[in-house]
Amino acid sequence: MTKSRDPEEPSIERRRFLQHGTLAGAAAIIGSSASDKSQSQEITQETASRPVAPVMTAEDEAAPPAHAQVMSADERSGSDFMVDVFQSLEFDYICANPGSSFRGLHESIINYGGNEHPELITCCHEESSVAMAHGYFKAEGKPLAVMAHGTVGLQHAAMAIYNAWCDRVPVYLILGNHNDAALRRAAEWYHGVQDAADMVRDYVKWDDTPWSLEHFAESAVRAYKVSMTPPMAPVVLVVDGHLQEAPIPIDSGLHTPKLTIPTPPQGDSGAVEEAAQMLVNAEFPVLVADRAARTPEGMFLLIELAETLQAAVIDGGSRLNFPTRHPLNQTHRAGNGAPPINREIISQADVILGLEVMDFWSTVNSLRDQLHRSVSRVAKPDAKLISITTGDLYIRSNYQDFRRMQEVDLAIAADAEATLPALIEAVKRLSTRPRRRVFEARGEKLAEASRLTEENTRIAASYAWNASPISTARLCSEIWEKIKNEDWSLVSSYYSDGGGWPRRLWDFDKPYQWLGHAGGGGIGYGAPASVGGALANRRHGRFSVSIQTDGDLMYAPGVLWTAAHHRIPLLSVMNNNRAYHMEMMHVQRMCNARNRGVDRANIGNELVDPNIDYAQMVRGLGVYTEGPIDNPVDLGPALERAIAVVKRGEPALVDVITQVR
Amino acid sequence: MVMKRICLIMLTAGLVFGLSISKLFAQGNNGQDHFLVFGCGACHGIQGEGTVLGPSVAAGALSVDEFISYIRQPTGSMPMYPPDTLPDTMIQEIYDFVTPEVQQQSLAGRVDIGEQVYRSKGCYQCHANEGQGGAQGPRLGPNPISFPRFSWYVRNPNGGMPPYTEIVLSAQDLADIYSFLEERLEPPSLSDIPMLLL
Repeated sequence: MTKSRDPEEPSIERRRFLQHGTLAGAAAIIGSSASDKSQSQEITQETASRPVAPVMTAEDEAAPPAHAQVMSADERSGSDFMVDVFQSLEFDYICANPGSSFRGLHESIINYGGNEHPELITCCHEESSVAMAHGYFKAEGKPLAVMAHGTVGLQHAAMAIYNAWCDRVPVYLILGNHNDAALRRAAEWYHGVQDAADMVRDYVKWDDTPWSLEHFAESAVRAYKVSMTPPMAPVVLVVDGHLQEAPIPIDSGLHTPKLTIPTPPQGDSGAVEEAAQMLVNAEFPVLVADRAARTPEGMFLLIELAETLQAAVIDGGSRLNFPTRHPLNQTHRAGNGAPPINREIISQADVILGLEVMDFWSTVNSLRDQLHRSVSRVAKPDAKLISITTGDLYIRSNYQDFRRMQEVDLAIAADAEATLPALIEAVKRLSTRPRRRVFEARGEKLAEASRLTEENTRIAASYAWNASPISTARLCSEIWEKIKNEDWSLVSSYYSDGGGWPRRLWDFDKPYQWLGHAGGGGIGYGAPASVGGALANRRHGRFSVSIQTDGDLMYAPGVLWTAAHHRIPLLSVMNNNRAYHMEMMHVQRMCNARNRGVDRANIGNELVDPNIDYAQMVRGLGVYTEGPIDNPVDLGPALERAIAVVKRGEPALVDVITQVR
Repeated sequence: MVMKRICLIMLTAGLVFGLSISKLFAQGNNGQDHFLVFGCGACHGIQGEGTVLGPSVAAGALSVDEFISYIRQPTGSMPMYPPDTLPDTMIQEIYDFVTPEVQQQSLAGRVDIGEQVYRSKGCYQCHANEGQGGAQGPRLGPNPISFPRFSWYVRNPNGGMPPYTEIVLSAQDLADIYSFLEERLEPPSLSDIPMLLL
């Protein structure tokens, strides 16, 4: 264990003297330049009367040099050791907007660590850093690290952390802070905080403020382990400025604990058997999956369960749980395209299995949002409900993302993906020949329903085909036409989902092709999460595409500069409908509920006058752009040109003026 | 299309355009009796106006066939009524009871004005610019549902749609919007849109 302070190091008074000496030296250089005779002759009377930096005097020059403080060859910094620990955790990247409270760690990453594993990603906003980490994890299955000031940086990052919390996504936050008040520079006082993690403690899974490097190593590994154990969530590690910056002996003997990720909890065998029996006996079982596919394997397990039972599947969309064109996928059947809940299917079910469903209550009930809100049950009153979720293992109080309490008949507190193999095995074992014949007949009906849904979807997409502004169906069809033969990944969230059209029209059959939701509904997630997803996809050679909404991009557009700077290939296609239409719809609801009319509901919701030229704006960030495009005929060629740029390894943006839905 | 509008105008010429009262007591009350005897009113209110236990069934949104079909195969918590318990003829009488006499179109709609009203009244928010529908609302045109059913629904919507009273949406507005929806273009044939073919 290293000492937190060397008793032989200069006292605080000595450091202040040295600091003043350093400043004086710097001023002397400036002063020396200013004392040049020819320049001094040009100084006006007015300028000369203002305070100027002191010039170096002969007395100053004669003074002995200040003690130069640099690390000796047998020393290294505390933050060098921190980089060792982070490299043991195999972080690929670390996102940060630079900040002095973690300057020591910053320097160690780029010099001691060689800017590899992790590589520093330059971000223009801490919200972008965290949302990039959020999107990256969902494409790669590994967390990104994020550095930020413990005060102002964390305040910027807070909304994105909340999104990750609600989405049960691990983000590894490293907050700089100068804990020892006696050592703080002036700026470190308003960037200093007693308990940095307090502000976000309600929506992170664990945090710590290590007081020594040994403490740091244990907490750093523990934080990673905690964040990656389902239910996953963000974690915070506060790293003291002095701990980062103070030298330690090279042979300090500090130990980095071995990382062992716990196996996720599997459902109790008796409960799994009971669930299997209920599913086998059911006449119309429905499998609802939301965050079930925790890894790529999750989708294939759900396919196996669904095909064994020939049961209807509804994909809630927080992950890609089920292929969109699988004949048992009934997500969009008889609906108008708005996932996640297909009430027609739910209302037929006699057994409903919820797999990591974040809102089971709204799956089987409906709340009518009118002047007087009312609720009704969608599921049959005697339908049996089964839940398998880690949501039963961990819950917090303050923020209400745990949703309304839903009574169920069998609650299995476990990780759904980890439980699926045992459930599949039990279902196969309990399925008799007569039951399998029932399953086959059911599957044929569901497949026919799926076929009709696909046909109706294509017809629905054809309406307003040639309209301007461009319909969202046309927008998504044109994109699909251009990318369908690539190894593509749609990295934008459902807020940017083009009215739900991609999952209705495109053939999603690989887990990385859909990265799910923002989690907490915080707008501004889409653009940075897309860049994060594209960063992960880059190493796999996948083609990343984002349907980017205008309101979302305006929160922190600088993340597209990050994409340009780090050569992150991403095709962003603007769904530019020039308003916060979801919010306008809510205001309209209020207007009519109060019988005042909706005519002024645009006030405060539109992004017009002036219209924002995203092509021009983003071009200034170093990104290739096309548009604005409002004629559907021009869209295909513009996409082709932008795709060529992305294939060269750079980001590109096509600004498309679209309809609201 | 023009002939259709002329017929509608002739049918309702001279009538005041406004909501009429329900045919509640003009049906001999058989429907009302059935409605109450079979317990419909327990959840849907004594006039079918809806309660927290069941939605309004007086919105006129379903055709009689759809109404019968739903009662035979209900969703949610509503019990199923088989034909031997509740014959189609009795359901027809219940339908007459809960379905109010809907307004006929007496005002000529103006397509160009309708487009502006469709937008200013916010219809496009959920039903998209051309009435083609989207994630938040169904398609409205072309070939909209009949004007009486359309107008009734706009005044008395189910689900999440905000209600439009005559204070916030005049009868003329409604007629104009309807004309706009009638005039929407039919989509191209799928065979003419290769990218929509599988």
